[in-house]
Amino acid sequence: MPASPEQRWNGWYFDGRTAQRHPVVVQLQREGLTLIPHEGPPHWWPFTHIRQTQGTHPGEPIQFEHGSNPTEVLVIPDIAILAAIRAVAPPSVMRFSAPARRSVWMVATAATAFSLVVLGWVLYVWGIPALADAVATRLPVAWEAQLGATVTDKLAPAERRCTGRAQYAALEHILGKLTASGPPATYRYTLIVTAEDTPNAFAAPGGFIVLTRGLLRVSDGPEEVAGVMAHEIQHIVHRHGTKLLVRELSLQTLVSLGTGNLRGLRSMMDAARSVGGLRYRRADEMVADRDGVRLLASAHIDPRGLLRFLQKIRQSTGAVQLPVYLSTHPPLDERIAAVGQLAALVPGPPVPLLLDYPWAEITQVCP
Amino acid sequence: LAEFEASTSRIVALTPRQAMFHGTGGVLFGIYLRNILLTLVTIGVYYLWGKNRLRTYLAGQCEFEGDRFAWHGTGKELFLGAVKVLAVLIPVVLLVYVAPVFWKTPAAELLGRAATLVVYLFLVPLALVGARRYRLSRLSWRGIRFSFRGRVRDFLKLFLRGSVLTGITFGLYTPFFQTQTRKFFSEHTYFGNARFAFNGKGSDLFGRLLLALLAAGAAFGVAAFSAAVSISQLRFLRSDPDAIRRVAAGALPAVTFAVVVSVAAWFWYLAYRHRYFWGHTSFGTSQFHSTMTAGKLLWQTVSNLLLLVVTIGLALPWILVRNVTFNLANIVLVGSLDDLKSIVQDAQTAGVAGEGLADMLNLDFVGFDLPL
Repeated sequence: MPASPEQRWNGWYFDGRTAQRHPVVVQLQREGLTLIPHEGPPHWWPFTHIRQTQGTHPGEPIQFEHGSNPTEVLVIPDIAILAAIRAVAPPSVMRFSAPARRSVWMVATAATAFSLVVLGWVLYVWGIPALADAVATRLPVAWEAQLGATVTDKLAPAERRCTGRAQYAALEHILGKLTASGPPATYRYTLIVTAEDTPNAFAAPGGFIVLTRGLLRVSDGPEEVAGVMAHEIQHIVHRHGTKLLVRELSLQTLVSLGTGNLRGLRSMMDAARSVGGLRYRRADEMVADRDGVRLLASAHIDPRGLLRFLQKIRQSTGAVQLPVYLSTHPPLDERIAAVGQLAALVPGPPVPLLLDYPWAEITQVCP
Repeated sequence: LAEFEASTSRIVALTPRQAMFHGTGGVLFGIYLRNILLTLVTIGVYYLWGKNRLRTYLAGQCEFEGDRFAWHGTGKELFLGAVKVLAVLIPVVLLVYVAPVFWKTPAAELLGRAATLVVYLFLVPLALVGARRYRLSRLSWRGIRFSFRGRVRDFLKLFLRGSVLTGITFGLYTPFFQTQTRKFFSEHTYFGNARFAFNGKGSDLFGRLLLALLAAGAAFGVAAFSAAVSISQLRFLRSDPDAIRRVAAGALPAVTFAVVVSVAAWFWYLAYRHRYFWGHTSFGTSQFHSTMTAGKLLWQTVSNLLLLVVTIGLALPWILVRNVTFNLANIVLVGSLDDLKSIVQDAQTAGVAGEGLADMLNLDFVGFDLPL
């Protein structure tokens, strides 16, 4: 049966051997297309051997390919041929796709954007912390200890470490009292004092607690240092360092996946990642404060030492504080209020923490 | 009549021909979103299919002489390439980067540093050539495939020599290195069985680079002198608590002037290099020309940056469209296309490993590139 005029389309045929354009009339049949050139014999392309390589986006002409080595190409500017193929061809030919309608496309785009935001939020709030918990609790302690040793070597290099034996003994006495009161120790704790004058302390995975000389200098009494140690012990027990690493890696992976190798977008997403990662760290600090007070209470050490220390830091920093979302720690006022509330709940009078060493000379740990 | 026909064909031959880009930011935005979503849902696996989808779209939207380019790559082949590269790279990375963390011996650290150098000096050329081979082999126009036939060994020599000399000369060798790279990538690029040609010389660019650097240097010299004058006046103002602010305010016009002159000089050089590179590239009897100017290039860069910042990155698909359109709009081909009649298909096979490697090393194309 000859094809009706509406089943004929004008197109261009490329034979796959040369770059010459050949105008053709394309005639639609039930099983395929017949390409009739101005000169020479017609070509028969069964649908089962045709691949559609273009024409799925608005404005694109339809491009079909046939065969391989050489691959013949047919270009038809009128996309109506796709609807006509659907109308006459068997259902197996439905793989040819036309450009989506604009409204459908816009709805799909909006829905995708919304799904992306929801998915990103779910991963950020729930997925990544859950993954960090799962990974950190399954990591062997020996691995954590090696990781912690590497971090500590970098941040507290051997040449900056203090060596006063008597002072270390006094500090380790406090540490021992705290660890003996907590759950059975998974880690072997290592206490390091560095010759830095900024008051600071940090914990590295695997049991490393680092205090600075500056911290000892500003503390009035062993209870304050015990408070800081209790806080740092909680970072170790809760594996906050390891979780931080897993979360950072997950966020980085998420950003890489989302942005591919698009550098402009990548740097912006990296900034968002850094700010987003800080929220996790602030939550960790609150946990360390809360469980630190509990540990102090079970060791019968006055938890108000931690409170006093935080207040001291608050006074020294004055009114200058970073906006919350840019800070690794929650606002000091918030921490002081939370620790104060918990400390007030601790029953009984505080037992003074007695040491064999005069506290006033504790800073001599660094000769 | 013969004379008329001859003059007509001369006019046709001298008519500049340009490629056009039909893509829109809206469609591209949709493709990006879809890619990101599917990539997240599939824990990253779809990334390569998404990348291929993007290339299919970009190639399909480029038109030259009434016919569109076509991309023939597949996500599956990219995935298999990535798996192969990972199988080799993961043990290497573990050995040279992770091992020194656990075995803190000087030998392990030295090995790590040596490996970084090896990665840069050997894997980068390997990836650049491999990626180019792959990308051109999957691109066609009028059913005829492009191809790249440069050998890794040749580029490695060029790259090693260029890197060392650029380092030794504090960057002054750059125009020579870039021109040689451009030559290598141009002259080994084929459309069917016909080769692109390049006859530029680094020495032609060197003078311009020197001029741009001198202009920037002189501008900063003037700025420094102006700042010094401001600082010398500070002596009389030492008791003034606002002194530093005043000096800064005094030096600001000079520093702004220096920055403006340096940026202008740099863009002047970049635009010249663009015109020079394309002006020395030819295909058959047709010659490429670039209509790039420093002003156009500067505006394109500044407006893109502004768009990116104002929209917190959301304008990225539109920027990509702007860039492709801009690149195509500034390159013309002058000459008869009679050569096309004699071009025959000469497709080359190309593995995908180099492409995978380039993706992992986050490398973009260097040297001659189709403005896609």
